[in-house]
Amino acid sequence: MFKKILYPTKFEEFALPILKNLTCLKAGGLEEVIIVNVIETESLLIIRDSGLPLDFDRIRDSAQRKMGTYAEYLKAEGIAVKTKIVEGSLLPEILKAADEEDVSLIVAGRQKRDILGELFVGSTTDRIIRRSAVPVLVAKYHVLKEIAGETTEQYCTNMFRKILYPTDWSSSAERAKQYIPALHRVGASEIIIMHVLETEFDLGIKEKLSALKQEFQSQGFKVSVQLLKGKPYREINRIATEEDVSLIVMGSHGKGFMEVIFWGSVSQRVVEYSEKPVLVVK
Amino acid sequence: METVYLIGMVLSGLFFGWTIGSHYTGAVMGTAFGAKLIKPRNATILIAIFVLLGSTLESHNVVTTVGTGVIEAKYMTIFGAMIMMLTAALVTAANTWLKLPVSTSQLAIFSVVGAAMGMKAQVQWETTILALAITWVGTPIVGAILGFVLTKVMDISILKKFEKTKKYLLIIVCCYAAYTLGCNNTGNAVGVFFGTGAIKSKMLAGFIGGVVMAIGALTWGRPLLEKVGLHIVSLDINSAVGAQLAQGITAHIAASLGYPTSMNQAMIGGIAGAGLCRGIKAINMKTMKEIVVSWFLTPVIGAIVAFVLYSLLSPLLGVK
Repeated sequence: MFKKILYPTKFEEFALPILKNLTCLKAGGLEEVIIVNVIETESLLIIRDSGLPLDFDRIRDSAQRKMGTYAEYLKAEGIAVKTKIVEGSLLPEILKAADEEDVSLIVAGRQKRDILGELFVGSTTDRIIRRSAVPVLVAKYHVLKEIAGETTEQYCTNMFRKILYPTDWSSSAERAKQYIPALHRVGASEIIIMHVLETEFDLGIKEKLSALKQEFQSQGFKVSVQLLKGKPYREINRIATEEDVSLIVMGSHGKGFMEVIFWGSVSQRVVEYSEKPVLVVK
Repeated sequence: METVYLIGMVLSGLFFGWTIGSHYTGAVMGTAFGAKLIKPRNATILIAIFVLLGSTLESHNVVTTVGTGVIEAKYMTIFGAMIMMLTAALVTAANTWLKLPVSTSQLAIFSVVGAAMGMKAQVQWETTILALAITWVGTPIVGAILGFVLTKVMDISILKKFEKTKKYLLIIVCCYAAYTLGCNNTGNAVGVFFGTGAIKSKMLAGFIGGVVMAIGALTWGRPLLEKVGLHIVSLDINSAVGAQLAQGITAHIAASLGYPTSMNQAMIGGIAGAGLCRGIKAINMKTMKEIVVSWFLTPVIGAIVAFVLYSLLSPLLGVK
């Protein structure tokens, strides 16, 4: 399920720790990581328009050097690496690379939003999730900050240690469920199944939750169940924090044309406001 | 209502001035910063000081052209001026996403033209606009010639013993370019303040424009400069002085004549001239095409937006 991962990077401070984090997916079948850097020509237009001569060779060399560090680490871990430097617009180039390389997962970084952040919706990560055909793992930079000082290996195990799986039994939530056995193979031992009731009349939910609990137990998980009332995204993020889960695995909801515009308001808000990494499955 | 229009005009003009101050930090200080001769904070402070000086001391001719040279002062109403500056501000803001090769000087002039057409005022096509068109076409050409000549002068062997002092010369030349940015571009943002009579003194109008441009350089100039430092070809010191000085002199001549021109196109010319001196073709067909596109695109966008805004808003707000 995680055979080939696309890792777009702008070489931020936490790009390498996130990448290190992913190496434990090897136990879940990870064979190759495609690292892609997009030289955003649009953002350089203001310089080019100033008449100053752009040095693309220098930009590419610098990117190649940084990627080399990443590639070395992955190769030492026994994971194949391909590096790509492309010029163009960020989102189309990432999606193009994902398509060309036929990846099974895209990993994107994302800062937790504060109140000011709410005013500026529509980050690249949001747009990747909207347009991507494959699942997107949203790593959270500030989580990495909090664990600064711990060894990478510890954190690596931690990321897949305890899963929160919110479900409404929609088709995308069911697709998200299919990734959970693979996560067990990479170190996940605990799972919280969660459903948020939006109305009083949700008949048969307890039975469904019970069946799901048994299913995960049979896969070797320690399982607990949360049945709550309230706003789904708030409850999901609250439980994720209170229970100190290491990863939220959820479906993106939306369907068809509307999926592009609203890729699931619950999952979008969870990605925006959660302190925890989120695996969004289409 | 007149007060609201006045506030709209001032705010739009000041926003336009602020964006000019921030956008041109690379164009006036990029060569020195690219050569790692100056820190970004010091670079933006120097830009702010010299832009303010240029704006206050020598922007009056451009202020006159934008305020009273494109249309006669009798046609320059507060509402019309608000539309002109609103157009400049809106197009500049929209261009953050559209990323079209738009020249701020051409935009300011044709925002005035578009609004004038909306108010059926007589535009000085055969005098001011013709002179401006000649200036705009001539800018990259003069820039290139000066870039070539000045780089040749810098290469003269007698100057070789002053090699160590050349880096200071480049910083001085960049400060001069910032000064000419003040002379050349301030009038674009505050010319109508003078044209409407809202500000009676050209020097005061220039000073106000200079203050917002300086704030623009100080607030948003640094990230742009840092990007420049990471992404441009590092020019040899003689070419850098030649190109940047060519830009400054070209824009200074235009501003002295009262015809605001494109600092960017002056720099493109300067770099091309300096490159030619080294046997490098620093300008390609694509760049030339974009300059030509800009000559037509900016006037069309500025004029259409201003005309449409004026034609829509004047009946809505009951302006005659």
